[in-house]
Amino acid sequence: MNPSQREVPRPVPAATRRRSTRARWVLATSIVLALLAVLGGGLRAEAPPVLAVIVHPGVPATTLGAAELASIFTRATRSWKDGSPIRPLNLPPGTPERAEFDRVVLNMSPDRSAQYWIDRQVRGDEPAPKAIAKADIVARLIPTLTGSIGYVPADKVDAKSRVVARIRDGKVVAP
Amino acid sequence: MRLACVAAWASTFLLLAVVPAGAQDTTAGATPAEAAPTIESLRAEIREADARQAQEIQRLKDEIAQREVEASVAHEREAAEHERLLRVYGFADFGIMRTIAPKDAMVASEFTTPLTFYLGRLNLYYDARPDPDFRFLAETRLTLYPNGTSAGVSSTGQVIQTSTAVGDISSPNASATVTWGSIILERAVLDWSRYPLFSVRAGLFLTPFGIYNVDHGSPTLISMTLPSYLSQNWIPARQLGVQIFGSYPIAPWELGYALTVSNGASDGILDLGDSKAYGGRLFIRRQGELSLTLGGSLLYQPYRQDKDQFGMAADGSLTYTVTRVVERTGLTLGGDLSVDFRGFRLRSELVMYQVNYTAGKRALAAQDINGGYEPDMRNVNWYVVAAYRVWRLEPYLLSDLTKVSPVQATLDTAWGLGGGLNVYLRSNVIVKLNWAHAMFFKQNDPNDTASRQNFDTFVGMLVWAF
Repeated sequence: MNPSQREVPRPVPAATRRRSTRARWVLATSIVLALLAVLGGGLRAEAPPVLAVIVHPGVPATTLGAAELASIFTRATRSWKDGSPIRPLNLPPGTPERAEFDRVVLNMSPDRSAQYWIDRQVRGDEPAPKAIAKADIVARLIPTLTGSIGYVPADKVDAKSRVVARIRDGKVVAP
Repeated sequence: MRLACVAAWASTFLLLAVVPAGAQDTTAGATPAEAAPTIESLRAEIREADARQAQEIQRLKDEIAQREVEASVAHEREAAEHERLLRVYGFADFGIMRTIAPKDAMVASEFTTPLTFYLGRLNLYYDARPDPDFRFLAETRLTLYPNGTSAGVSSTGQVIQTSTAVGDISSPNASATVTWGSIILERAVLDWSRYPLFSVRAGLFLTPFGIYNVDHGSPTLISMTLPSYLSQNWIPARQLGVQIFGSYPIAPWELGYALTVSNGASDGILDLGDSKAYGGRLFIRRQGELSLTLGGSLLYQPYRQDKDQFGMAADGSLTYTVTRVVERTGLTLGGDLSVDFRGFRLRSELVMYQVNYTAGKRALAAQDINGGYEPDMRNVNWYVVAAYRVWRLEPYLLSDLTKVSPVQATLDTAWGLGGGLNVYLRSNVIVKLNWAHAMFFKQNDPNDTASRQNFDTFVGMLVWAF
């Protein structure tokens, strides 16, 4: 190669350098955001659902407050006033209804709730209430299961169950 | 006339026969434009048929969905009714570890490990509630032990490793070998829990003392570094006996207690020294975004060791004498604090252990090669672990301080410092990285023999609960 033909590095214009730096920042930010989305499972900004806490019609309770619900759903209270066993039914972790119920009634975030039940399981305490896959099934199941209690979106309640509380605007209110 | 009629009928018949069908319709009075199917009419018919078909498909879909819900309801109802017949769940961990050797030869032989993978815990729980008032819970730990553990030192000073390798005689390959492992029974209890305030537990249970011993599982513990009071066996990790426990809610708080009577610190599984241990725990806690537990624990454990001896009397008859060779009382007192607030977690315990021997019935000192006896002692251990979780990362720091009294030959203070990082890949899958540095001190130690026992441990593990 003729030395005269050798390429001489040309000075990069300042504007090009700025564009290159900006592109790197955009790329790095995109990668970080993509990682956050993958690891974080995506961000959701949905309005919290209005929930109705329903019981089997044979349950000896007409209204339940936040403290009573918390005691039932942490398995501290295991029987109704007449001595019959309580069968609490949960919705699966990750559903908006479960997150809202845990937040309002148990005062726990989804992470805290998950850790709470793992800790209890390891310690040998009563395990978490049974999780039912869909609210439709909970609404249909409770009228047929003695001693059961669960929560569903308010629009899924039918006349076969008894509403003992509602969860609205971050509060437990009377039915 | 007759002929004329026949002719008229015949002509009419012929006329009808030759008239085309369309002419018949025409004669009926209908217009061709109204009767003939047009493209539009055919399209309309097709649209109607499509709509009917769509309705039918939707009806069938609704019916299938309805049946599926009904089947799910039936399935879930049956599962809920039989949920507590038997549930199996557990946790496991697998890791890599490295312990940097201390200078002290005796300690080095006990604690040195090269960089090595290890199978930590594979604990399975068997949980059954055959009756609403009764619950059975067993927890087993499947291990590879005792294979590879130290079996002592030979007369030539060589450390002997345990090998459980045996020929696999059921294998078609005659030279095949297998190594057998073992099962550790962590607990096996039957609870009667008719009343939350008064429940009874019988069997082999984890000693309800403090925080760490009951948390005991890698998914729950912040740090895997064992507090000194447990590594030094100031309490037995589990006891065989009866426990009464309960709690009373005072919203948002819960007041709870546990009382135990057990075989205590007996040798083996029976209380051969007739020395029952008595313990208790009282705690108050609240749950929620701010979870707080304050507790106090106590365990009184006398220990007696007898020597059984057969002999021959002067008359030639067989004699059997029981001589008490060791007799002591042990008292362990502890206070604990547990705080969870948003991402912050704190665990701390302060434990005091006092041992008093009966005169003339002291045990031989375990680590005294000169054949000395164990002194009366009062030891104190305090540890604190603080962690803060940000997103899925939970860094933490720990400190574990132990004061030994009276001053042992080799140390009077042990201090463990460490830290680590827990990475929550999922709520039930965690990567745990742990470092601990153990330091030992002794007053008036011109040769600095205590610090020769210092060592470091690095552990990385993958933990999952299932």
